[in-house]
Amino acid sequence: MTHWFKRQTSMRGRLSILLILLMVLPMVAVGWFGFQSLAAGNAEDVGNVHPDDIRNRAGLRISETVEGFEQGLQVALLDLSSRLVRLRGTDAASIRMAFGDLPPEQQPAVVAEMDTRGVIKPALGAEATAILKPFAQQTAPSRGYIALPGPGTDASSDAEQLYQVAIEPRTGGRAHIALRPMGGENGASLLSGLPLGSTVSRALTLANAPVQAREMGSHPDVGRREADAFAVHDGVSPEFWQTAITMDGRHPVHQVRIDETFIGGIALRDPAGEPVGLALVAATDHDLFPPFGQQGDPIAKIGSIIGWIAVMGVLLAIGMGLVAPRWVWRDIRASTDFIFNSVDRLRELVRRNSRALDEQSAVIKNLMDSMNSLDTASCSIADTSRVLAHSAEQSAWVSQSGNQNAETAQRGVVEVRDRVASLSDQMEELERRCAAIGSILGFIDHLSNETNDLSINATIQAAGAGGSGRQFATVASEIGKLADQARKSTRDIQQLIEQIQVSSRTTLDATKEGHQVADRCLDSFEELESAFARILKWVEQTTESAHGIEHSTAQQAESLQVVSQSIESLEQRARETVGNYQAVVEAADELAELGAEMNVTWRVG
Amino acid sequence: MNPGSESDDLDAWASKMLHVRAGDRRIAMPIEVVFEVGTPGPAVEVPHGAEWLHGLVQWRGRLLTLVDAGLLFGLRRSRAGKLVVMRNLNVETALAVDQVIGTECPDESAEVVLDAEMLRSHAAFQPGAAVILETAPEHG
Repeated sequence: MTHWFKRQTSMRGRLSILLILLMVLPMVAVGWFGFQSLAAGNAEDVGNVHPDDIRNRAGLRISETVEGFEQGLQVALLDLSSRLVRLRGTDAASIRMAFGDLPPEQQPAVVAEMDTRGVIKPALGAEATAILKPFAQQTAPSRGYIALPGPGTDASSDAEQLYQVAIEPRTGGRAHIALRPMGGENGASLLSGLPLGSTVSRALTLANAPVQAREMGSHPDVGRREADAFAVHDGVSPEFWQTAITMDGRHPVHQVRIDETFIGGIALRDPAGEPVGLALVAATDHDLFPPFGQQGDPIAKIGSIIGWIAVMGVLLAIGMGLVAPRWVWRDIRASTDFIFNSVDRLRELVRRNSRALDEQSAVIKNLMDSMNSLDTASCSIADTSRVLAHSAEQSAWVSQSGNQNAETAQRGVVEVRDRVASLSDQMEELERRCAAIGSILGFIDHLSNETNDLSINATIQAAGAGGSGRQFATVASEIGKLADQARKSTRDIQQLIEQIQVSSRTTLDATKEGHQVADRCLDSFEELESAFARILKWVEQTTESAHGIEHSTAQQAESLQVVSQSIESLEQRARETVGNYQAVVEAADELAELGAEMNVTWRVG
Repeated sequence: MNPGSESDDLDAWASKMLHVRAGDRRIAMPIEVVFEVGTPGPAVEVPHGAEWLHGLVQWRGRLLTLVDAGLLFGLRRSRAGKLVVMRNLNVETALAVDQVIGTECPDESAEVVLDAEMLRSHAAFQPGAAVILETAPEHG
């Protein structure tokens, strides 16, 4: 057995079981002590008392119980009376204000008012009115129990029922009346609310009436059990009643014992003091004196519970001590294997991360070189941008100057074109006038020809006239000469006119060509102006872009400085990470050594 | 003009020639056969007429035979810019010439010098040289 135990448990497991036993054994001792004390106490209560003494004690207790029952009913009656004092009227609102907070089953069944003429409203039966009227006409408040036929105002039923009644006189002979039935749900609710315990049977009954099940409360706590208890003793009720109503105020409770059962009763009286009912209580010796537990020492009970718990704990600890190491060993073995595998994987990951960090460092170095090159390029771009902006500003000035010159030249060309146009108009007018002169010259030439013909004809006629026509022939000859000279002059003029026309046409063509050239020149000037405007716009855009590039490159240089610092920080972090990885590897190695030592200690594997 | 030789001057004046240009020739003709010179109107062509027959032209209410002097006395047709109305010939006719140069004394400037006899005997100025259709007399 010892060998088996040693084989099944490790050193630490055995130590754990020993510690558990050391902790539980005192608790077992305490529990055993409590159990012994409880058993001894009960034996003393039950075994050492005489049966007569028990009977006397039970009688005293049933008497106290009946008195408590009656006092509880009196408290309920006083509550009804005090609520009636606060009643302002018999309308629904006033009744709800006075009795609304009571449970429905404890509400008064009737709240009525008797006026100065002695009429009760709402109207009750004649017998009920006759019973209540004498109490209501008194000047002092009154309360008690009365038996009325039928349930409340319902006169169809002849069976009497017990009521709690409260009467509060008002001014001018009026009075308020409240009736609360004690049977059915109302009585059951009142009985269940009294502090009698659940093992004692209770009932209310009318005068000289046998105890019937129908008169018992139907509440679950006071239901069937009470009915069975009292129905068995129907035969003794009249005598019991007669005796109970004669009990005086010092010993108001009458009690009898039948077999193991005590029955106690106390009279319930109307406002005039006449008995109208009984309050009954029935209980057995077992109900009054439970054999164990209820009268036991609480400390002993607690000790007993602790002892039993300790016993269960010992058994559970032994079982766990035998079974748990197997489970724990397997778990430890699996955990150590997992640790070894994790350490191997961690080493592999560290190696990979180290390689990745080396590569990262190389990349960072290249990135630093690139950043430096980029910084240099940015500075060069910034210088170039400044030069470009300066050149663009000079180009803008040159473009503006060229544009102004072009505008001046354009205005000159426009003036030349206008003058050429005027000259063209003048040349056209000259052409028209030359044409008119040519026409006139043609007519003159025609006249010269005609004159020449006339002079020739005159000469011919003069020759025919002989000597007398000689002078005439001379005149004709002179006319012919004049006509010939006129014709020659006309032809000379005609030639001059033709030369003028040729020159004017040439000039006109030249002016038209000049006009066209001027138009083309103006078009060219407009294109030139537009080109200058575009150039100026481009130059402005170039200047703006150059300034933007300069500004951007400056920002880029600052950003590059920040990035360079970040990269240096990153490189520093990478170096620190490599160092951390080395620390992780060392910690993993230590963890693996610890797992190996644990396997050796717990004999795993 | 010398006053002492008035008769010589008169003879010279009387023997003046009318110089015209027709076709490619300068033609001189005696004034005595010339009635007047002028500018012709539109000529009416005569069908199947001789080549030198330029046509018929109306002149001062009369119908004249218009003969092309260029073809008649030269090699080329004249432009008929002027006409020379002839007289003292067998028929009433006119010469179509390019230009009337003037009346001048006989000199050597003319390429063709015509005389009255030659003209009267020329076939072109004989009756029937130009076929003229008879026109119906006008009845008042």
